[in-house]
Amino acid sequence: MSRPFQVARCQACAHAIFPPRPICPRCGRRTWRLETAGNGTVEYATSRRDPETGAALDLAQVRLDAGPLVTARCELAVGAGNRVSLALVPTGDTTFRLLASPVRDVRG
Amino acid sequence: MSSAVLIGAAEARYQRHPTQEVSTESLLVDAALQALDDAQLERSDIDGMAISSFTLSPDHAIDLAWRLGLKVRWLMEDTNGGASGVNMLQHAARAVEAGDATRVLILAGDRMGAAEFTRLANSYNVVTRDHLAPLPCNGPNTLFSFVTQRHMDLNGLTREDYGQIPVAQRSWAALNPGAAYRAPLSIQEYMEAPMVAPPLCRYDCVPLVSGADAVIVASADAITGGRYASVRAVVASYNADHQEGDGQRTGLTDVASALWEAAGCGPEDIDLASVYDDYPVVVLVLLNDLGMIEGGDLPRFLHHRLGAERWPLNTSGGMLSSGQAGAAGGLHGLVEAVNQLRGLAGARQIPARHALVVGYGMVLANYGACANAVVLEGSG
Repeated sequence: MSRPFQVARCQACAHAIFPPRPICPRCGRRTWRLETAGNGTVEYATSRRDPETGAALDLAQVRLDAGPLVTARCELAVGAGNRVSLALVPTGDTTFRLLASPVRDVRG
Repeated sequence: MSSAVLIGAAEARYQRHPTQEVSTESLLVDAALQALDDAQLERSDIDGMAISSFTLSPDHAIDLAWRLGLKVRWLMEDTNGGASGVNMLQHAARAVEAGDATRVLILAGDRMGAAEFTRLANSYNVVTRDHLAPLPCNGPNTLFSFVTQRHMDLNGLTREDYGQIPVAQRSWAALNPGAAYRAPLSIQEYMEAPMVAPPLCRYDCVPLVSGADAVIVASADAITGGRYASVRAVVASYNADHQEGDGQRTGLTDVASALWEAAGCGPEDIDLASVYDDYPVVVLVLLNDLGMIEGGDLPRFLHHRLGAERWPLNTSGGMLSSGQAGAAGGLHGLVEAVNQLRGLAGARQIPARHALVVGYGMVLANYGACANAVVLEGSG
């Protein structure tokens, strides 16, 4: 089962960070609330070969609507400017992978 | 100005395909003994030791001192990767200034084969293990593709511009018998090279090698003769932006003026630079942060200074040609600068009085969090 992707939002100054850390880098407080960061915009993308299988691996640098810049896998070819939704999907072992999937922009 | 001087430097020859007998320990021992020989010192002259290695575990600095038979009164273990060389130098310089040690042996090295690299790349830190490794990310090429693409957009540069760096450095590597790749590289070959993570091609990424580097730092009072390089100034800036920027500048922007003020000279006085070159874009960012690129004119720097004038950047060939031997990459450029300032650079020797060495590394989430720099002066 996929999980929602979450960032940490400082309850004192509203700054959002990923990955979560104990102290807010902006205000120094440690009062956090996790919130789902479901959407973002691809700023850059690239493609590599998987060193084990040789299969193409597409990865994107996504600016979350919440603020932080994150690296995500993208199964479908996406490019700069594309709107994506983000979710954590199981990799098959115990870990989860951040996956960016294209969405129609319904903002605004 | 510091009273610390560098009196020896050595590199255990980098190897693309080390034999079974080659270990992290054997490489570090080779570099240590060569550096002692270079400085004309006995083991018993060393009373301080610093080490950086990704593959020393489960041993630590004291285990290595024991293995080397070093009795020391100052000991340090550094974990800062590409920033480790300058970081250890900064600490060792203060140690000899304070009298905590008289002669410090600084070491860095790794046996870094494909298996060791995969292990390191997937467990570099908690964020890498939990967030990047499951993508999978397999090391920093993906992240520096993003840094490079952004740099291209912001500065209007093309692949051909970045290619000037590996091409220029390869021409220096031809003169370095220790470089892994010495055959001339043309810009055409660069442009046609296989892609690794577009826009990064094979020649934008450092080849994995196994090797080790060493330098010896001493108090100026302890010099008994021979040529040396003085530490004029050293600065560092770590976690300057909490990884909330975009990798286009480093903390060196905050400490550049302090570096030049303490060094008593400016960018125009630098005759030679060893700049951490895990990727060409990083070289440009670091040099620009220190005010080394006149007018911030990157195309002119790349094509005119590096290309036409052959400005001495990474005269060993840098890691892009010599290879990256794990943590030794953080010391490689310092070894080259010390060799140059002591007149021991062989066929690639250039007349140089002032050298700049810049370290960079430790990708926490998106780009390197550590940057540091030292200005050295040769004794003539």
